[in-house]
Amino acid sequence: MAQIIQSVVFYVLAALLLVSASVVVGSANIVRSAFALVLTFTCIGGLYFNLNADFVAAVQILIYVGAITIIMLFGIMLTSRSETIVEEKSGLFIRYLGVVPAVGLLILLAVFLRRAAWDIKAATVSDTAPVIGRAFFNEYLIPFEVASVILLMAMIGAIVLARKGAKRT
Amino acid sequence: MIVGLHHYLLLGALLFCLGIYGVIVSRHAIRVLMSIELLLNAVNINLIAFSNYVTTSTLRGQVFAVFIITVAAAEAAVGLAIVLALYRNFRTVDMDHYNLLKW
Repeated sequence: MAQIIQSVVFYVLAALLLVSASVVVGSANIVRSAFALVLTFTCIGGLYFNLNADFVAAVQILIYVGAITIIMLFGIMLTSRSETIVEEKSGLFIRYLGVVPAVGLLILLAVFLRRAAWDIKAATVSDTAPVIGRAFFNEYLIPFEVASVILLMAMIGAIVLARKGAKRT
Repeated sequence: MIVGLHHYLLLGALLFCLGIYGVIVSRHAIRVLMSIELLLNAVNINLIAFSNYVTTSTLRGQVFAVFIITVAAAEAAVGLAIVLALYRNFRTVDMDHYNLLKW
């Protein structure tokens, strides 16, 4: 019964995810793309819940849906004056040419992931937050500290790049 | 049909290829950034699927995914700051107009 629910949830979320990701890359209107991106991130969060990853699903919704889409929308707002709105898509040649590496990579990945002998173990449902927390402070302590330095650098870099009057001699 | 590991991996591959298509084809600079976020999310789906089906005791995939979310957030912020600086100089976000490096 639980497996039927998992399967149904997976197929529904996967279909919604692929449709909204197609809207993100294919729509002519950039604001519609941004809102489709919100739907994409939410569906991915739902898939994480389906995969027994409760903490990462919450982090996904907090960070991606809650912060990154907001910053994308602010970026769209600040870079769209009415005479410079990019509404036209790329030429037909580029769009057809772009399908080639995408489909080629898809075929390559699909063939090889079918053939690989994955070492599949039974899923154990547990509270993931304590396990992840312990991993952050024991095995992955250095990457954890480096990640905080990355965030500090990104904050400083974004402020320096985006501020006005950045002309210096 | 029981959903197995390869279903999630195939979904991740599809999302990754959609992201690749978006990066190649997009003319709007912010849509390129959105496609890059799609790429990173596809990789995250793969990692969480592996964590659920392969490394179920240590949850390595989920720890890795949290790091990727962190780096993706930092990269989105810096990327948008760059796009804002470009917009201030070029007055457009059309990628076809960013051709100063062309010889």
